[in-house]
Amino acid sequence: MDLQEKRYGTELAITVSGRLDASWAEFFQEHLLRRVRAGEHRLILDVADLSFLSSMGIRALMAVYKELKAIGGTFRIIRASGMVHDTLRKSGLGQWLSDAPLDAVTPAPDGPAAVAATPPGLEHFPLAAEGGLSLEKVDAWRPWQAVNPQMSREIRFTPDGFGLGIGGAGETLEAAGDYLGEFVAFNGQVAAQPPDERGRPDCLLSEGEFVPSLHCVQALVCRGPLSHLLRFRADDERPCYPLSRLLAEMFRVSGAEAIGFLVVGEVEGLVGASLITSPGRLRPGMEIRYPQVREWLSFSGERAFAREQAVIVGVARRTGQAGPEASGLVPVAVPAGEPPMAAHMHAAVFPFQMLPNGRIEAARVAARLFSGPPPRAVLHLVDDDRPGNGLGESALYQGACWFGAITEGGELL
Amino acid sequence: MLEIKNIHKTFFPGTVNEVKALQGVDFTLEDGVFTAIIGTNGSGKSTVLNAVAGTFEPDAGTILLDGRDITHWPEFRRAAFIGRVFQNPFAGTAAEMSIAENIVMAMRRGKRRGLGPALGRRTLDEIADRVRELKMGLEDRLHNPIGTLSGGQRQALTLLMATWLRPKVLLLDEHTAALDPKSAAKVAELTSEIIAREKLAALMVTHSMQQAVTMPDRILMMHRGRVVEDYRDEMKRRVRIPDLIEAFNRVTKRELFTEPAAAMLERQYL
Repeated sequence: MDLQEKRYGTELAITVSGRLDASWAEFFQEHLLRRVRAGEHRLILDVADLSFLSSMGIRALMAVYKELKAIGGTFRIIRASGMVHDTLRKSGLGQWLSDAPLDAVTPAPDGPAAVAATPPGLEHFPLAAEGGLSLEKVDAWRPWQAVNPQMSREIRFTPDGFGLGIGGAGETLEAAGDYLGEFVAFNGQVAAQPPDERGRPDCLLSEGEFVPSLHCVQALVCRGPLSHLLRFRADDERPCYPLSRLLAEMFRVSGAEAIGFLVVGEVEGLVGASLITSPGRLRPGMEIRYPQVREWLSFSGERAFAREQAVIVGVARRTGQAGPEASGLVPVAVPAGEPPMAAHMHAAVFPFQMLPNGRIEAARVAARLFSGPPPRAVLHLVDDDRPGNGLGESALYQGACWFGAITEGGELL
Repeated sequence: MLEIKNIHKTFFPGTVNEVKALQGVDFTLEDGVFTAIIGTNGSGKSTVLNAVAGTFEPDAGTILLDGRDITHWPEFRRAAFIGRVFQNPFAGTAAEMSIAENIVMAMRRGKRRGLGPALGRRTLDEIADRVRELKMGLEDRLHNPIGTLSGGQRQALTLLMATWLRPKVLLLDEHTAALDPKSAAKVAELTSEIIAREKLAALMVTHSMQQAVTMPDRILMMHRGRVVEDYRDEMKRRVRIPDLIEAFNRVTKRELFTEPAAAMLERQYL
């Protein structure tokens, strides 16, 4: 088998010659899916020189087709003849066959185009949203003091908001006390990390009248519409997007002082920490130092979860003179020429799923992720700025950021 | 039943080559339970096996076999109760002796040996019957020198010899690692069969996650001379390869959580 590629406008034509049978089907499928993952969502298969197509070959074509269909891509087969044409038609897959010539570009799906004047690799889509985000904050725990139960709050994660924090499910805070761990919430869906080194993250999903709720000892929750979408994709110029780069772009686009955001993207590496013993077990007067802290907190120790899909929820503000720590935000590495920023971000890591190109809806993307295979981890992201051997900050290859200005409650940060 | 109580062993103490190979290993191996030991290189897996076999005496701790303290027994004295298969398929048999001659030595392990002929008709028949169970066609080649056989065939015979006299403990030290994939699968299958049939207490060191998940009843994971995970019963039946990899990651993560990392997190983890 031989594969050749040529671009026609927004479509990528792949010429397949030889036999597409059991020996080659897997190789062929992986090659095409790699292209799709790299952003080629409009494929043409030129099969003029394909001499044989077996059922295994059809299965590979079907796998690529399904993937493209799920993300709104296009797939057509041209110049099929003889046995290959016959096999496809008789297998009921005649709709893939196209008579249109190679350069007859199929029209792009409808939808408003991106706004110009964004740097290369980025696309900005303003979303029809009125008003900004309102912020709610819970600050009942700081490492490694005992939890202040009076300050804790039960938060219901309704579909109009998103947030992050430390909390646990249970009838009361006391009942949830042993299960407080990092969470992210979006659109009525919650991914929560149990505070247990062996524990697997759990999901709580809105269903019918059920609304997930957690007793929170820390929380930053935004409610309201997200007014911008920013798509980003790594290229030769920029091999990946560190989160500080994305934050700087979000501040630039929104012009806001404080923002709430949701980022979904393919992971280059995440650096973070999560609780492995519930802060509910801390008692006044306990002193947690190194090495005991290793019984309470787990550190990723490396740039983790490469090539998985992360859902990152956060709030950030541009910082002035005041120290940001009091606000529950941590200073972020600042890209050259950008004003200082501080943020608090949690990530839920899911097995990779492809995203459609262009303008996409946060709620739909999140629903697909949360209803699929369970998350692998939920963690608080850090910028490991240790000189010399620090792991740096988390970064993504490609994805989408939805964000908006915090117009109410910004003083809490 | 084999009880290993808090054994320690440091090789080359006080020198630049000092290795704290075992740092308080503690577990009990019940009769009829097949246990795998997994762990990174240098974690102490094979050292545990050697401690049980009596290759060296531990610095501290005790080893009890059916309640008897064998900690200070020399290796040859334990050999009567312990069967062993090594990684090297050429290590467990004498190459120039025939299959039958090798086996007859295993049949008399730990027993008094006289000067009469060892291989009578009845003995040969018995050997042929047991060798036939390996389904390798070796029963027709009992008089061939064992050195003419392949690694997989020799390892299968070593396994048969090590278990001929139903040992109290069977020790398997990466016994399929040096074999080609097909022979490794065959020897692994024989291992499971023999251990189940004879209801042996067996301890198998392996680097194969696949073997660890599919073959034994229990998995011990070692790291830096300690048992860090013990999967048994329901936990063992539930465990899959990704869980084992995750457990390895947990151990490495703990090591990467150094004091400077903790200082960084003090600023960054709020």
